[in-house]
Amino acid sequence: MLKGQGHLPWLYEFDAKCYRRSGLTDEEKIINELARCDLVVALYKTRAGSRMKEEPWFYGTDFELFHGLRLGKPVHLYVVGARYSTQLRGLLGLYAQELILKHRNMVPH
Amino acid sequence: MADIRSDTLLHATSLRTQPADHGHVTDLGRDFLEHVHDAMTSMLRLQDYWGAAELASTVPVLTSARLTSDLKLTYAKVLSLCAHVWGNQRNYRVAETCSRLAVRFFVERGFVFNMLQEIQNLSGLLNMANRVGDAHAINPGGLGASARYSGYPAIRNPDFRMLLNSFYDSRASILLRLGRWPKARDILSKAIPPDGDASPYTFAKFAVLLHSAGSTDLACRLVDEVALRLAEERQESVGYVARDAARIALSAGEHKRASSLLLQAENECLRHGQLHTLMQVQRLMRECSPS
Repeated sequence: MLKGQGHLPWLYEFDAKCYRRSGLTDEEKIINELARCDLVVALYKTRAGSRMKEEPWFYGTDFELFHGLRLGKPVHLYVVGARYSTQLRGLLGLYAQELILKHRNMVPH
Repeated sequence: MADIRSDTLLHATSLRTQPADHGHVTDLGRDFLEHVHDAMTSMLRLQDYWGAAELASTVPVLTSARLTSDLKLTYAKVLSLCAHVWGNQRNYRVAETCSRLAVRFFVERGFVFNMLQEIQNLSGLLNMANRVGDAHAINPGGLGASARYSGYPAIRNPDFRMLLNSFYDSRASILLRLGRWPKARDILSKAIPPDGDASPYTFAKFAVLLHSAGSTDLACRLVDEVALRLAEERQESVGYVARDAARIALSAGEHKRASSLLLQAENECLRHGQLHTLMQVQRLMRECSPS
């Protein structure tokens, strides 16, 4: 759908393959792409994601949010659902606040 | 007594900090911020919350400002101190705003350690403001992250261990408020290192938890012989420790001792400007009074 509208989305699961022989770590690949993008959209449902290998204090969620903000990108956070894991609840308690993240949308279903 | 209203602070601007149109700040004043940071750090070291609050009231809380990256870091550090001061002065709304802004600026500058420190500060503030649910939600994220952060082999710094201990302490306070005492005791025992080098504040809290578990004698000894003595020696958190000692003495039926401890706590809190603790001390005094 995004491609149809002229956007070029980058999804780790599919698009990280181009870094296969680069020797970069997962974190470096994501940060590289975050630096290149115009907009970061984080979509979450119940879990905060897996822990990162190189920066284990971050879950997938806050890793993207943290580095997106650090790189000065507009970050949009969408949360679908109303039941969150403890980790995600903690992260939302922090990031789903206007003072930290301007564009956040909680969509309970 | 200084009466600083939150509205006054939120709209306060200094001569050096005139926001221009559209929230762009042309000059927040690096010298001004550095001066405030240094002066406030010295005041907090001396536990002079009255002076620190006066200084904090000159710091504008700019929620939609564009700052240069260097200034952002200094501003975040100042906001972090302001949050601590306003929390102690019972101005929780402004304290929370300062703390969340500080988190944002630390994130924008990529300072993970400072961000985690500020999350700990924020969870403590929310707990003080009686927003235990919010504090309970935020704390585990920061605690887990700092545990992994301090355990990361590439990082060798005792500050990380101290940060983790602060998180344990803060988590125990939240659980204590939620009435989950056994869990709070387990968590707090992790904040006391094997060599026993913990703050009097942590020892006093541990004594309250021991008392709640029925070990009143041990709690009395810990709070009187360790926590209070340490607090008086270091001149650190005397009001807080005396309040907890009074609480234990009160439940043990030692009303005379409780009264003298409460008086000591009240004097200390008034002298230093720790209004949050003072409120709790005065509540205990009312409970203690014969009428």
